[in-house]
Amino acid sequence: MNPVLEADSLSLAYGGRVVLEGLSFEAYPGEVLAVVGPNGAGKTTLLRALSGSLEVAGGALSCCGFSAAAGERLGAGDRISYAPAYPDVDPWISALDLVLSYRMGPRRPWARPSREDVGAALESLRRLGAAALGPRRTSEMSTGELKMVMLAAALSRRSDVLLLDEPLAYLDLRNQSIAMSALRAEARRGALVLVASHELHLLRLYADRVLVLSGGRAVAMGRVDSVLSEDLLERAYGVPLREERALVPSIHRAGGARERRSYCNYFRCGAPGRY
Amino acid sequence: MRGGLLHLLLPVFFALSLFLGPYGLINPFSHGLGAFVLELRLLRALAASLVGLALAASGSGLQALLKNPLADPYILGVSSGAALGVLATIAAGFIWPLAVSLSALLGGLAALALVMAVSSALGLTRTSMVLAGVALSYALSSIDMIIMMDLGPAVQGSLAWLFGTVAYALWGELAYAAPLMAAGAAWIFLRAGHLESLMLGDDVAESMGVRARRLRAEVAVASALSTSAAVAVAGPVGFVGLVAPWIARLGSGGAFRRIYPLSLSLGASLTVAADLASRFVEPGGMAPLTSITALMGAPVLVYLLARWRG
Repeated sequence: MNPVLEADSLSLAYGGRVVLEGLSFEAYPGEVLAVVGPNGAGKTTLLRALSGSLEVAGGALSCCGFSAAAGERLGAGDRISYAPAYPDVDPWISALDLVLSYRMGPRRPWARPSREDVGAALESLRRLGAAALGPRRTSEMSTGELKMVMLAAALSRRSDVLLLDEPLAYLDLRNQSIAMSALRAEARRGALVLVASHELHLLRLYADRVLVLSGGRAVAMGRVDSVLSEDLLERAYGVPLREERALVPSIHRAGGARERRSYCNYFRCGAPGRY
Repeated sequence: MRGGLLHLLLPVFFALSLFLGPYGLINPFSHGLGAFVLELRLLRALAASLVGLALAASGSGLQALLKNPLADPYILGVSSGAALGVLATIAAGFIWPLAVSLSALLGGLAALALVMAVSSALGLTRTSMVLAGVALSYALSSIDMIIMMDLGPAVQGSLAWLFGTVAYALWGELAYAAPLMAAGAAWIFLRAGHLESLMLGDDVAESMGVRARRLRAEVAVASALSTSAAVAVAGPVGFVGLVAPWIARLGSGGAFRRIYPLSLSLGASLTVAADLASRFVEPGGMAPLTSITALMGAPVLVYLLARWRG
C-alpha cells in the first residue's frame, strides 16, 4: 500500500525556534496514527505543518499528492481536515453554520449550501451525538461540546486525511468513546486519522500505530502495544515511572485514592476497559 | 425575527425621506418648489443610504475579521485621521466643501496606513490591529483637540461636521465618494467566503488555503476605504457600523453570508431614518446624526439582546 503521508528529514520551526528536526515517517490510508509526547515536544507544530498553516523549515513533506520543501507550505486543500486543540471560533455562529462553513470551505460569496451539504452537516453532528447542538451558538456551549462540534465539522468533509489535535481533551468518558469510535469508522472508510493526544490509555485501545516525539525528535514509531512500553515512556517524558509507582501505595495509605488512580491511568497506560 | 422583511425598511424610510418634512407631506409634482425640495431630499436620502451602507459594510467586515463584537468602522483610527485631515485643512484656511471631503478621505487612509504599519511590525494579529488602532486614535484625537483650541470662531463650523450630518452633502462629493464606498463594500463581499472560514479560527482557515494575514490587510483596507469615503460625505457618523451588524446578526444568525447583506440594508435604513428624524429635532435638519443613530439604534439593540437572552 502506498503511503498517503510522508515526511523526509522534516524540520519545523515556530517563533524562530526549531521545534522538530530530522523527522522521517510514513503513514497509510486506513490507519489511526497517534502522535504522543510531552508538552512542547512538537505535536501541534507537526499537525499545523501538515494542515498547511505552517511553513516547512527543512526537509520535505508530502501528502495526498501534494508536497512542500523548505520555505513552502503544504496545500492539500480539502483533501485534509484539521481540528485544532483550542477552537478559536466566532462566538455567534451556530453549530450547524459552523459545520456547514467548514464543509464548504472558502467558497465564492454567492454560493449557498446545497441540500447535500446540509445533509452531510446534520449527519456528522448526529454521528457524534451532537445533533441537539445544531441551532446553539458556540458561545452557549461548554468547551467539550464545542470540541465535539469541531470534530463533526472535520468529519463532514470526508477528507482523505484527518488531523486532530487533542480531540479527546475536555470530553467526558461517553464522548471520548463516541469520538474514538467515529475516528475508527473514518479509518475503516480509508482515511488516515492522525491524532495528537495525551490520553495514552485510549490511544492504546483505538490507535494502530504511535509516533513518539520528545526533545524535538522522533524517539519511536510502531505498533501501539510494542512502542508504549514503560522504558520508552520514561525516556520520552523524563519521568521515573518505577519510582512513581513505588510512591503510589504511600499516597493510597495517606488517603489519596484519586491521586493513585490518575497515576496508574496516566503512566501505566493500562486499558481501563471498554466504556 | 428571521427573514428578509427587514430589507423592506430601506425603501419605506427612503420614500418617507423624500416626501416627509417638518411641515408635513409635499407633493413634488404640484409646483416648481416641490421639485426643488425633492431634489434636495433625494440628495440627502441617497447620501444617507450610501453612508449607512458603507459604515455597515465596514463594521460587519471588521467584526468578523477581529471576532470582536465591539469593533466598529473607526476602531482602526480612520475617524481620528479623517478629523485631523479636516481640522488641518480648516486651520490652513481652506474651507471649501470639496477640500474638506478630500482631506477627510486622505486623513482616514493615512491613519489606516500608519495602523497597518505598526500592526504589521507586531505580526498583524487581531490584538495588534485593535491595539495599534486604539493607540493611534487617542494620539490623533489629542492632536485634533490641540488644533481645535487654535481654530477660534471656525470651531463652530467644524463641530457640525465632526458630529456627522448629510445636510452639507453635494452631488459632486457624492459622485466621487460613492464609487469608493461601493468598492470597499464589494471588496468585503468578495471576501465573504474567506471571512467565514476565518470565523472558524486562523489555523483552520489557513488549512483551507486562506492566508489570514493577507485577508486581514485586505479587509482592513477595504473597510477603511468605504469608511473614509463615508466620512468625507457626512463626517464621522457613529453607531451605525456597530449596531447594524449586531441587529443583522440577531435577526439572521451567525453566518457571515447572511449577516452581510442584511447589515448593509439595515445600516442604510438606520441612517436614512436618522436623517429624517433630524429634520424634526431641529429645523433645517442640522441635528447631529450620531446622536440620533445612537438614540434610535440603542433601544432596538438592547431589546433584541434581551429577547435573545430570554
